[in-house]
Amino acid sequence: MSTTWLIVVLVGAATVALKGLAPVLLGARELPPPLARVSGALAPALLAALVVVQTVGDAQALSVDPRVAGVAAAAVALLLRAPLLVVLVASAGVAATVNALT
Amino acid sequence: MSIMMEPNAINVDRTMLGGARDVAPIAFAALVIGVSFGILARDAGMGVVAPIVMSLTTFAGSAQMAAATVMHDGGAVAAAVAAAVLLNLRYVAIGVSVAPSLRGRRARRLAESQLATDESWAISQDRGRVNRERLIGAGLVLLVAWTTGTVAGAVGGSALGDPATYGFDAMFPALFLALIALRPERPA
Repeated sequence: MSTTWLIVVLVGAATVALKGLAPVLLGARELPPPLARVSGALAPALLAALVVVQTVGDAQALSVDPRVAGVAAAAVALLLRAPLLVVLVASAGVAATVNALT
Repeated sequence: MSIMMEPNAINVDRTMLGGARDVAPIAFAALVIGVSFGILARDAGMGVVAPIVMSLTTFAGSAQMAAATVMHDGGAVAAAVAAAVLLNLRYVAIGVSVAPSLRGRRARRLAESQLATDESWAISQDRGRVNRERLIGAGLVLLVAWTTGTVAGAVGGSALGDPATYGFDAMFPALFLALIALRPERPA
């Protein structure tokens, strides 16, 4: 098996297992409320970490590039309560503009 | 969008169609990010078919991007898999949150749980729970958008060039920022 397919199979199998772990093992049982609150709060916290990684993350280092301007534009649009589509187009538009200017 | 903007709205459409409709703006982003992934994966030497299969089976953008980036930089298989798995550990938490809403036997619950993504999970929040119908409707639309984008990027990417030219690379963190900002309130 080539390296590529090995990665596709391993990452795919791991992701299926991670997503399905609780639904298969827990069944439809309701969680104790404290645990339910933690699981509900965990995903957004991890999403916040992903925002940082994907804004300034490079393969092995931090990089300040047009993505930062694009995400800043998205933040402003969100503060102005713009519709999601406007937020997304603003982020790409500003990042593309800064990319063209630098 | 209504459920994300007005978490306690009573006029939320709690059907698969409702979830499918409300996820539309996010699906647009998933399509564009899918194009970026297709281009990145092809540049990383993954070919055309493998990235498409990966989008259909792994169906988790950030992990796929991470694995393709490691491959692009000539990293080891173990490094690529580890990067993807670490990013996807959050799906254990999402799975815990989704579990009580799913139905049926284990095989069916496993299948339905695969439609949980950051985006479909956010869209399906309903009065402190996950609404199964909205999760499935939104998840299916996202799967189609994400895979279609991957096909376009992997097949036609060379004509498009660098995704950064179009600011596509900023759209991914912007989407996650929006998911956090528009996150439904927890019930009082």
